[in-house]
Amino acid sequence: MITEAKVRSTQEQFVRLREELGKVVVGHRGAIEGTLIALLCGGHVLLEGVPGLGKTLIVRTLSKALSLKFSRIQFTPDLMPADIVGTNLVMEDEKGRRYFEFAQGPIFANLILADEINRATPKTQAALLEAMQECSVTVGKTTYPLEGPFAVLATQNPIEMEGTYPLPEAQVDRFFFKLYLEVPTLEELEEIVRRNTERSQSYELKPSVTREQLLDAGEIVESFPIAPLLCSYAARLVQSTHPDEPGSPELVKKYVAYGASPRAAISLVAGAKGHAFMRGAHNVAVEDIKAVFPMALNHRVLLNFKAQSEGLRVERILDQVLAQVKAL
Amino acid sequence: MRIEQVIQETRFRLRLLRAVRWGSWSLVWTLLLSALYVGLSSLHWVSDALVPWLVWLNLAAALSSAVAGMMWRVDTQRMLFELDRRLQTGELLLTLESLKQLRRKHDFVPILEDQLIRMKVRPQEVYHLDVSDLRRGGGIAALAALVLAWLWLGPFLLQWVGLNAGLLAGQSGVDMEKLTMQDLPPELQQEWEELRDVLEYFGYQGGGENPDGAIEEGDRDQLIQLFDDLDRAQDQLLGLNRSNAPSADPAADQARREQRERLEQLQQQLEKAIEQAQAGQSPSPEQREQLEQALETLPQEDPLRQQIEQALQQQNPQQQQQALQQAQEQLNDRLENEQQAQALRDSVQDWAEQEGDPYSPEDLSDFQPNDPSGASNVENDGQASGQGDPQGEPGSSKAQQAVEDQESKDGQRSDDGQDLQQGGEEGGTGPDTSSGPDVFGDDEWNPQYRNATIPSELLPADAVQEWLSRGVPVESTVEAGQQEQFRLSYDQVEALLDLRDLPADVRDVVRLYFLQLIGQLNEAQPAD
Repeated sequence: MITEAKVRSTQEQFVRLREELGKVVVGHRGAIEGTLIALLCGGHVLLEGVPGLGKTLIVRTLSKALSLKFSRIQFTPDLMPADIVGTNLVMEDEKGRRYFEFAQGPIFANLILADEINRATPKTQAALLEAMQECSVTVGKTTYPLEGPFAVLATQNPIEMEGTYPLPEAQVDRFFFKLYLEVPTLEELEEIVRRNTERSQSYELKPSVTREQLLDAGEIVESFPIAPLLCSYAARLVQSTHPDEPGSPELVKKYVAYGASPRAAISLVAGAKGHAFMRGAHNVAVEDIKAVFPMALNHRVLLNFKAQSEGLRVERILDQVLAQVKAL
Repeated sequence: MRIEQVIQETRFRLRLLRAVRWGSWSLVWTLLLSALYVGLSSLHWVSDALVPWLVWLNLAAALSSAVAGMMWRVDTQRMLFELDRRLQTGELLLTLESLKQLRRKHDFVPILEDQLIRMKVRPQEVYHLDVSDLRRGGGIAALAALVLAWLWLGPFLLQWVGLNAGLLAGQSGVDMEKLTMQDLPPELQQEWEELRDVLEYFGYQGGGENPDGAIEEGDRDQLIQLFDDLDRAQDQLLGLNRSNAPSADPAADQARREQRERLEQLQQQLEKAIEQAQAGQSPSPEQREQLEQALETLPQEDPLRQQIEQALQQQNPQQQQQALQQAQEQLNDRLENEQQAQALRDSVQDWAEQEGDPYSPEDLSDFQPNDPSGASNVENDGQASGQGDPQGEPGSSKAQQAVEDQESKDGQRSDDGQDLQQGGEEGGTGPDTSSGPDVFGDDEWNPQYRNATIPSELLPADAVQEWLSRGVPVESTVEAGQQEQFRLSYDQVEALLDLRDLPADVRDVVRLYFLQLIGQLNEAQPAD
């Protein structure tokens, strides 16, 4: 039974968590918020930014703040799928009989940091597919379920594309949000320098949310009510990203190759619930949908060659969709 | 407040507000159309048959729109969404309402209900009359005032801006209330119907066959005849014996007034007699004498007089009372009918004066339809015009003819009120030594001055040429042994002026010019 007090206390707990993260990570409040929302909704996050912005720091800090099992996988071109999911090892018992024993890979954790995911080969990247979608891993003929909560927080570098393997669309679509990390402002940069060069400025983070609490919070977020009218609004927003749709904006018709998938609509509504939870509300509002719309769709809308050649960013197209599609 | 209450109150307020707005917008448009319609009907571009109904049509349109606004379906989801947006409640109302529609009870319903109660939502903060509504209300009031003002003042404004007076013929000031009399006696009813037909033909209240009011001779004769009949009917009702008197005699009005007073005295005497009869007493000798004196005002053959005399001879007070009461009722009816006839005359007279048409009954008092000569104020056989009772030969009852026969009249005017010496006249008519009325001090344009015969020496050739080129009818006659003479008809000049949009002062200048010509004529041709 969900009570207002329970909802309120859970919300306060996550607000505190956000503030705690903010004490370690300078800036990137949107990325932190998006990551927390994705965690609450059981989604995976793709963090993109140039090197040194703190992508890994965010994930590592989050893992510290949550009492969860954390794994870090550094993706490299020679990384093999077995290195991620695990492998069957030949073992020998006391009587000298040999048998196979499955040695779990780093994916058997609650929080996975897939660092520089685009540096691994597609075969290795695909090893994450089942885990991300089904929360299970199949090795040989045996399927091993992953313990919840399970979230992959992947990072990738938009530059230095040489020797990288861009993620296949099917895999990108499995990420709940794609979050861009922006270059810090001057004040933020000064703060980053101070914290990393002065011993007294370092902040030791202690775990504040347990696995059970995170699962409870996820249940609460899932049961957050949303009016059918707003569901319809979210669906219309996603529908408007398709260039073949009659009512889609001009920019979409001109620059979009493929619109967002139905999974985008699911992410949008679920993310809106998470956003409503994080702002202390008890139901989804239009603002919640608008707030998570870019995070949920920017990696799901594929631009055509014309847009890429003109240097058009997908955010601009999404802004126009938001401006054109009205809630009522 | 619970969500059900919020929905109920919001729905009611929304409907009410919609009713007000739809009604007011409807009123704005209908008022605009009304203003357009009134304007066009003032100019006789459309029939003004709907003018009396405009107020009701506007009200009906506003009312039906308001009812439609009240009855129109309210989309609850849309309504709550709008309320959420305006109150910034984060779609709480919308979500709660949708959760209430679910069959199973959602865990968040009590939470949201508590939140709603804490928020103290007040739909009246959103759904209320705003500035635009007030502005629209002001606009409606202004438009309504404009339409009403135009209905009342439009004709005067049109006249003020110098529009053709003929266009205003339909807006004459005839009081319809006066003219729609229902209780006229049969003989007056007949007159009234005929008179009404004539008035409608001339376009009073607009829409007539001849709305410009250009009354033709035949029509005018009909009007005069009707006036005569009305006069006779009035005389008959009052018991006046003026069979030989002219109906338009100014003394007739005085005679009727006096007779009316006498009959009212008779009425009072009868009243007293009836009271006494009711008390079981016969009238005293003094009263009887007074009654008999009062009865002298009625002719011997008058049935009413005979009836009263018979009643007075009754010995039985009760029978006497009944007979007197019957006589009193008859007398009352007579006086009432006579007043209606007088009102009818006044109405037509008012209308005629407003029309200002030279042939309208405005000048009926100046003419004598029964007068054989056909003119009272037109000098005949040397008699001064406009003075005394006219005398003339039988056979002509047409005042128009009298006007046309007026070539031999003379008279003079001064535009500054200065009397000019009256000149002589030609054609064998005698001189007129009386001073004529001051034309410029009086709106009435005496027919005496409507025509002038002017010797050519007084008229520059180029002036004549100018008139001819402008369409002014100038008749030229050359009689043996006399100079060439031009005959101008001011009526025709004025009719021409009516066809043009001229300021009032220009019209006066034309009159003045015409008068000066007459003055020159008179000076040039001194009276014999």
